[in-house]
Amino acid sequence: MMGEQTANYVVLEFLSLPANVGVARVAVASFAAQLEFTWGELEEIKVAISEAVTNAVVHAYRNGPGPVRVRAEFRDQALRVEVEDKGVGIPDIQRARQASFTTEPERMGLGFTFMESFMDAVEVESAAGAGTKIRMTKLPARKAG
Amino acid sequence: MPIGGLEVESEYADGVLVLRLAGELDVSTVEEFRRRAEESISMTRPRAVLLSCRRLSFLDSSGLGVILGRFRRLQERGVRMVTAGATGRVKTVLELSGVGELIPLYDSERKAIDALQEVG
Repeated sequence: MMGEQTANYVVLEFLSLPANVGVARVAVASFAAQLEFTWGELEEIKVAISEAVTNAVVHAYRNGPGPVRVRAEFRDQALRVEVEDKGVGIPDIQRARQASFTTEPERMGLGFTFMESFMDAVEVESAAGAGTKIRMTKLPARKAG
Repeated sequence: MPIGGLEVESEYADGVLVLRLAGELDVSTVEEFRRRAEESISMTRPRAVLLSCRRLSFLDSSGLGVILGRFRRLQERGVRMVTAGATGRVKTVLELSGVGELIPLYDSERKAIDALQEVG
């Protein structure tokens, strides 16, 4: 499982409950602090993780909470994070990634916009009934030069 | 305060309701904010609401949604809403979202109150 260039990783699994969103973002930011991220970059990571995990908490499971798995790793001096659920999936990923697209009142539909603004790369894999996996990568700016 | 906790303090003077947020506004605390804001607004019937974010350490799109929701409801009743004191990524999130174009952002509560008094 562990690739040659994986220097370290953590895995966190929890139920898709709102109270766990803060736990996940603080855990990933604490892990990321081992790389040369600035305080501001760690704050950006927290927002991106919060958006990805909130997506699972709000949208993934229709009949009560289900499992969410977050894996964070260092590879090639970058932070890579996967947020995965086994829920209903996103029927139209392109549409979900558009700013201000939302299926809920009082939600802004900016989750993917913040993930894309605060991370270097964001990939989404989703299949109806099989769940969603969001992969994000961020390199410390001082490393990116 | 637990991770993700939020405290909301309210103060009313001269028609302005100040809601001071301390902690984190995300999906786990939006209901607390919505309830406290609605209670204070219906009790004081202000002509303006100032959301003070100086001690708000975290804001994401769930938090923005509930702020925008309160703004829309107040706007329907002709009540103004401004924010003050946001720093760091809280300020970035407000600006990136475009919410700053709808809800004016001031550096401090004092500046926000002065601006609200000028308009009257």
